[in-house]
Amino acid sequence: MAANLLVDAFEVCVSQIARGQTVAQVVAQYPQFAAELRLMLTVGSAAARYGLPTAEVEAARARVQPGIDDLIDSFPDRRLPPWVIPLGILLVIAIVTLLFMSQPGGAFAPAPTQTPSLTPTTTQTSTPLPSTTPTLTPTLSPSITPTNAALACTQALVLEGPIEAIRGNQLVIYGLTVVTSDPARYRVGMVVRAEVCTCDGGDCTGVTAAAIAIPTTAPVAQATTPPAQGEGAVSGGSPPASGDDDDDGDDDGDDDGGDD
Amino acid sequence: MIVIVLPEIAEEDRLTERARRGDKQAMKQIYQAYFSPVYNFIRLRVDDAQQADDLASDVFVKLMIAFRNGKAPRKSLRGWLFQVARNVLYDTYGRGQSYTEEALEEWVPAAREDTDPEIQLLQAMDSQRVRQAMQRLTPDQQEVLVLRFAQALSLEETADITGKNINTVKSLQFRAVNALRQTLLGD
Repeated sequence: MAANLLVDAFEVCVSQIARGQTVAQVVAQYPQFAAELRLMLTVGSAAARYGLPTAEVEAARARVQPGIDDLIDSFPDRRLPPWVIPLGILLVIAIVTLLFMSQPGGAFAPAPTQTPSLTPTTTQTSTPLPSTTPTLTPTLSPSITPTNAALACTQALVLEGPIEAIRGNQLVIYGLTVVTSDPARYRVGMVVRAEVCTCDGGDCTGVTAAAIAIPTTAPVAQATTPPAQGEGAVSGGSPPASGDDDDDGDDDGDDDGGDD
Repeated sequence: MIVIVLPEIAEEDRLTERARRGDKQAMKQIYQAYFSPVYNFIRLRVDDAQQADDLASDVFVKLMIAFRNGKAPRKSLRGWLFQVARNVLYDTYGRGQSYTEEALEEWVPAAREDTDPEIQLLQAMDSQRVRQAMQRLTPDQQEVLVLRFAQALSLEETADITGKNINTVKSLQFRAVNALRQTLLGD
């Protein structure tokens, strides 16, 4: 039993010395074996300092080294240039930053769609002048102008020509439907000039109002109101499939009723 | 005063990591740092210096090829080197080969100035007497002494290298030191 304890104590002492403790420190843990352990550790440390004379070892090293050096030098150089790792780190950081910034709320994220709040205002811009010879020059001039950043228009379109039909709050000009909040101002055949926004797809929410003016030969009106779909929005290239789209019963009386 | 010079483990790990990445300079530094202990270890068993050169060279060639092939040691470089050196010795001489008389004469520590009376006593021992004491140790005991005391390898590393379990190594080192002590100090 005591022998086993001594074997274990000796092993503990050897391990602790290998980790940097002194013999005195490690032996102090085992006062009952202190003398024995100290002697054994002394023998061990003496045995540890084995070795050939330095000159012989150096001579052997010099003899073997050329072969080892040649072998090492024959290896393909796969050590990376020193700048590769920093460059890689920078690239990773840049990619992560870009990904982060493109997230919603990031600096590179698409600007959120803004729905302008429009205040309905009707202004009389000119006095209607009667004309005996209304010169109708129905020139459709869809001049596409750059998008006004303040408007959510995909493009601006100018329509000038006679109103072909009125369906509820929709005016049909050259087959294009223009939404207005005040259809009572217009009559079929009236020449108007509408500066409208086109909007893509069916969701025209947020398209801002456009001016619908009657040229000098006709009464001038300007409508800037925010309907559900948006004043002045142009939808499609053809009128709605049917007048049933008009859900507002208040406008029923105007449906095609102004043909005269 | 008892002095055991410990190998620099952190530096060993750094060198090994660099060499594993293909750093040729690190490989050469490893050769410079570890040739001496490996050569001494081999030379204890081999009379012929030229033969010891060849065996030591074999060990380092295996190491460098391991670095090149990405199979280099990941934890204990010294453990790996001594294990390979031991295998090279066994492949050449077989397991039963004892230390040579010539090597044993040189293995006895050279006399040094030391104030410790026990160390002084050991150093004052006749080299012939020390050699005889060492010859009584089995090769396994001699290996354990070298690995544990000269290389400061852990019990686990020594067990790995020698292919023995930890308790056997513990017992081996105890018996080896005790036998050496009894012979040298006349206990």
